[in-house]
Amino acid sequence: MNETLKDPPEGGAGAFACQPVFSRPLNRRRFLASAALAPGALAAAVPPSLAIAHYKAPPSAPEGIAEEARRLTRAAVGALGGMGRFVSKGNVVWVKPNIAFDRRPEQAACTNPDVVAAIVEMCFQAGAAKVLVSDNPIHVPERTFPRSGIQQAAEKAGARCPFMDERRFRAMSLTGAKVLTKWKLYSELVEADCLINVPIAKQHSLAKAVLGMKNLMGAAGGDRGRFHQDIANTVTDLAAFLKPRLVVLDAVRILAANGPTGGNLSDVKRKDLVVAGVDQVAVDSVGATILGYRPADIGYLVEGQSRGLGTTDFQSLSPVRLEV
Amino acid sequence: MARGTRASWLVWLRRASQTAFLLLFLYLFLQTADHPIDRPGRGVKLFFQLDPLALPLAWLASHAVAAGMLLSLATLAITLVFGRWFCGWVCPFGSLHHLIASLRPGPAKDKLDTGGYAPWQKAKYYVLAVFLGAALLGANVAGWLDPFSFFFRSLATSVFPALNDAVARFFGWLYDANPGIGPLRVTAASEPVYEFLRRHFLALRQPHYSGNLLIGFLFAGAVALNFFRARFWCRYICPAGALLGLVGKNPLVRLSRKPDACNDCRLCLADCQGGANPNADGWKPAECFYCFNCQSDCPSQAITLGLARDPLVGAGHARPGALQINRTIAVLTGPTWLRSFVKPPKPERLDLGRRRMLASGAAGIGSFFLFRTGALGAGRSYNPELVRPPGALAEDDFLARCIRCGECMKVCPTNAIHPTALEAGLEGLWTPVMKMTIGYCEYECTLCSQVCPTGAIRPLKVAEKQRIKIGLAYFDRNRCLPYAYARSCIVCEEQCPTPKKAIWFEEVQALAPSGERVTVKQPHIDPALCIGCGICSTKCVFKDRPAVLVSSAGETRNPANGVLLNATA
Repeated sequence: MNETLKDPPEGGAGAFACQPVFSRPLNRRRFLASAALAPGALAAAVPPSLAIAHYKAPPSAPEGIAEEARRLTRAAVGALGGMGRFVSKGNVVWVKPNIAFDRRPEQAACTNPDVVAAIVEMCFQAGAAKVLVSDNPIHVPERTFPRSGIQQAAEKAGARCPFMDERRFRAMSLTGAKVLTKWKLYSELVEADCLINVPIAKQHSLAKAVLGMKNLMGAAGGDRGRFHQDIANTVTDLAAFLKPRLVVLDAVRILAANGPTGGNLSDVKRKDLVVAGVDQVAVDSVGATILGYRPADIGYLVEGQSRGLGTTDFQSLSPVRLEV
Repeated sequence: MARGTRASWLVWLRRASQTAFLLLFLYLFLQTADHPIDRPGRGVKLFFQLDPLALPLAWLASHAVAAGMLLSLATLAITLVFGRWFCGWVCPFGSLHHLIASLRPGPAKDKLDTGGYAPWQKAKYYVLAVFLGAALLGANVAGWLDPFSFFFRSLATSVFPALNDAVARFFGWLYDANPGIGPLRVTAASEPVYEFLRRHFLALRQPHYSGNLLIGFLFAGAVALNFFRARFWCRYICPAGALLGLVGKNPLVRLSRKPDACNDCRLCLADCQGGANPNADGWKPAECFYCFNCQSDCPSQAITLGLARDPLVGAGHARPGALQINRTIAVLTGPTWLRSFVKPPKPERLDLGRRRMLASGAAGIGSFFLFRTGALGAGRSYNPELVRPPGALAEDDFLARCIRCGECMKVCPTNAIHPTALEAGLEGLWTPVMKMTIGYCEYECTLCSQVCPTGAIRPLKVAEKQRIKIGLAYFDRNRCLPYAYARSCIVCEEQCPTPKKAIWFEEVQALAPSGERVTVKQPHIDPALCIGCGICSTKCVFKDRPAVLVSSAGETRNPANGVLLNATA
């Protein structure tokens, strides 16, 4: 199993498909140095919109992976200018990980709990008054929240993890929606000052990939199964309406097959990556590449780009690449 | 009642005991839930393990009992000494009846008229004989009327869901309306209260059970009968009470009445719970709950319940010959307390009539053969609807053990387990069946197997549970969107929880209503991988009758209901 987890960057079924992305490795110091030395100091004044953090020496022990996830998250968000760019003093922040399934962290069906915890900590450091971490899961929340480890990690970091309350889903008119013109969404999530989307990268037979935009289905109530009949538009409708201020994609472990439920450890691949960005289409496009797809193959990314939510050509954003 | 007389402290002690056990029962009821992760509350099976009826019936029917149920031997042992003390001091269902009966309006005179023994109280012994007769051959239907099963099942499937709905609707109404004055809004107070109730008392999601109405109606009826006779259930119906009456028909703790002090006022009958005739009509130990009301009520202090040290006291109705024998034993055996163990006197013979008891037992035996020669009997045919929880034994063994208590129904986190109506035949009434339109079997969950008190659902480890097939899913291609309507869906494939998905799909060019050919993924099932968990059915976009259904075919527990050619079958 360890062999599988330490999937080498080149070759094999779980090929490191996004290899070109990392052709210009950069750590924080080199990034800062290059930014300072850049002839156009103006370029440095515009904060980067996409950061990809990779872990150089991935550990195999669980504690090591936890530390890795936290450091990658801090580095990726730090490269964007830190959480202070997204969270202001006194803000109510809703952190939306994927907590959909009754699966353990190593099964990679839910977001890595340490990625979530690191974000919660950074939110409080940025002055957030309240951080809520929750999801409308597919399995029952009293099992998925603790089993994923997210509830424990987030509560330890000071967040609250309320189970969503059926009464607080409210039918809302989704501006500019093509399909979901009116749907039940979770009122407190919509009303939060700042929404941070924290998905995990997983294979999905219909949508091809579960990434950030599809993770926003967890803000919706009602029978979400119907979304499948037009997954590209429904997911884009949600993403266009909810507009997370920051997306942090967990690809420390990814679920490469039998997603999104998983369960088989041999379908879990280590990628040791965390991607952070303000452009949700671009972050997901990096995620698609990590999973081995071209962004153009994924309907909701194409649709998202055509509606101006972001770009699938993430290279054009000159992503900051960090080796941690 | 208790008019400051000498024994009233015993009445208060009994009330404290009843209150404590009733509250414990309700507490354990609420604890019969998922305590993260995959653990029920501690000791939730306790009352079923103390249940004096469940043990002998399970043993007769299945020749095997779950180890925990041996606790009920203690109940039976105590009964040898204290008679039906258990009914009066411990049984929570009895305490509920006691409470309701005490609310009964009306003059004391009516109570005097109805408080005494009635011959129909023998009915419960015949009920017991029917159950014993059926159990002798393997049909364990005692759960229909087992007091703990009746109470728990009614709470779980009927009373609790209704209460939960009432509370949730009340707070939901406050939440929606949110009345208040200026910035002071009622939700500021009501929402924290609701949150507290939700966390400690209510269900996280509103439960729904099929057949709740009949079960609730019978429960209400059983409770309402207390207005006709105090503790009607315990006097006339309860087969567990009958068993304790038989075991404790000759207890060491007895009622003695001083004939000289008694003026035959019959006040003792007014609050008699069991119809045990503490008055001059002659005490019936098999009907007495040792509630001490008579001793407390007696204005002449003529009645005492206590260890009869002298076998001659209280033997008011002993046969003449017995007196001489007892005297002889008294001389031979020395200390009087020891003598009472050797040959306690018989205050009142429990005369049930041998023929009637035999006839009742024969009726039970006969009913077994009727049960088992129906269409579902002994593996002649299988009901596709009868999908049992994972770990359920083969159908005959299952029916020999299940006491229909409803623990599995209460604990199931997805509300998948329901009481049967006639899916398992009349014999299987109120046994658990999985309804995948309402809930599904959670892949990582073993809660029902952990709470089953009788082992009808055997204890399972998660890894073992994940290998058990409870049924097999199949598609209704006339409804399934990609087949019938050329629309994308495969929610079922997304949800399928087996590590290698049991649902796979085929990309086909289907004809859309517009006349275009569109590419859709049509799902298929791998019967070797499908475990019948039913999440595909629960999450299917068709809610009335899902386009993917689960039938009992291929269930691990009944090899004869298998489908696939296996090396092991």
